[in-house]
Amino acid sequence: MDLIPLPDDERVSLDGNRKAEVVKTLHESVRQQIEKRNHVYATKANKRRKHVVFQPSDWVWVHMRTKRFPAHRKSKLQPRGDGPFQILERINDNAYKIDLSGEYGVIATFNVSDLTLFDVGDDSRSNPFEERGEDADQPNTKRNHANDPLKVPVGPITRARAKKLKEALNELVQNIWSKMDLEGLGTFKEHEGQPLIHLVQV
Amino acid sequence: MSELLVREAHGGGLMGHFGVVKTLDVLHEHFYWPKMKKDVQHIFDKCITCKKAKSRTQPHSLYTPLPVPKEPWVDISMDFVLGLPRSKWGRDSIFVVVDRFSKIAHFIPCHKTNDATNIADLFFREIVRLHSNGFDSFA
Repeated sequence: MDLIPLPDDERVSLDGNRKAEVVKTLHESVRQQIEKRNHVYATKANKRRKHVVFQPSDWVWVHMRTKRFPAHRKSKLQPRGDGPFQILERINDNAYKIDLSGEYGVIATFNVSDLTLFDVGDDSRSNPFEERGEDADQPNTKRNHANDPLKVPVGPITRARAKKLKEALNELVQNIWSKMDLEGLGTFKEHEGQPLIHLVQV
Repeated sequence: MSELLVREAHGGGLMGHFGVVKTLDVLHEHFYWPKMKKDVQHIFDKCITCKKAKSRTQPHSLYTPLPVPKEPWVDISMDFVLGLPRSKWGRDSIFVVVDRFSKIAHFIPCHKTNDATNIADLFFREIVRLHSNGFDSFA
């Protein structure tokens, strides 16, 4: 009863090479099926989503998630976002390192869904403060009026601008005092070496 | 001049930082100029107050599927089914291991209180014993 001979078509597959071929084609077809399904899932999941890529030195607006900023999202009247901040590094398509400059005390890596491109005055996506940053290092003898960091800018005062302004003011005061020193009025000498002006942000 | 008007209609006086459509409606009551909508949109995009108060998460980033495996029992996924009634042997949860290529599933009874070493033991006894051609990754 148990000794029924194997049917012919199954005996053929005992041949090693052909069996290997069958398994290979089967695997290939399964892989194609998985890829096809993945494609369908992806098109459905991406229906209302956007592929956004930022470049380093872009200015972005940061959405403050409640989980990420528990101290700053305590009440519903507190701001939900902050910015603009500059992108320092692109880790991959979904994660970016941002120049938070030690504020908030959180890790400065954010997901793209929390970032929005911010238009900083000009239409170009480049950094409009670049010329100003180099200007701050030069002595203030021949300062171009348009690039003068002491001039209060027209647009919104961001943190980067406030910092530049503060540095410029400190430099100016130091310069004036060193001039006074030369003239023999060295009364403020004990103050040198420390920042003299602390800008109060409104 | 138009910029001042838009700013007034958007955030000045009694206006409460409305969106583009409502700001446009307010302006349309008294004014018209070409490319009005574009101007309003431009000023709305740059309004810091709006950005601060109305900031939300964006629909950025796409669905990123896992890499497709080439053969069975190379890439597997595991999960636990908890909260079941206790069986005669005291097991109360199921450890599920699914091969991501062929979708073969193994259901292994276990305890809710099992820790990593117990589960690793179970895994080697039930999965590696049967399909021991080397795993690449576990999801």
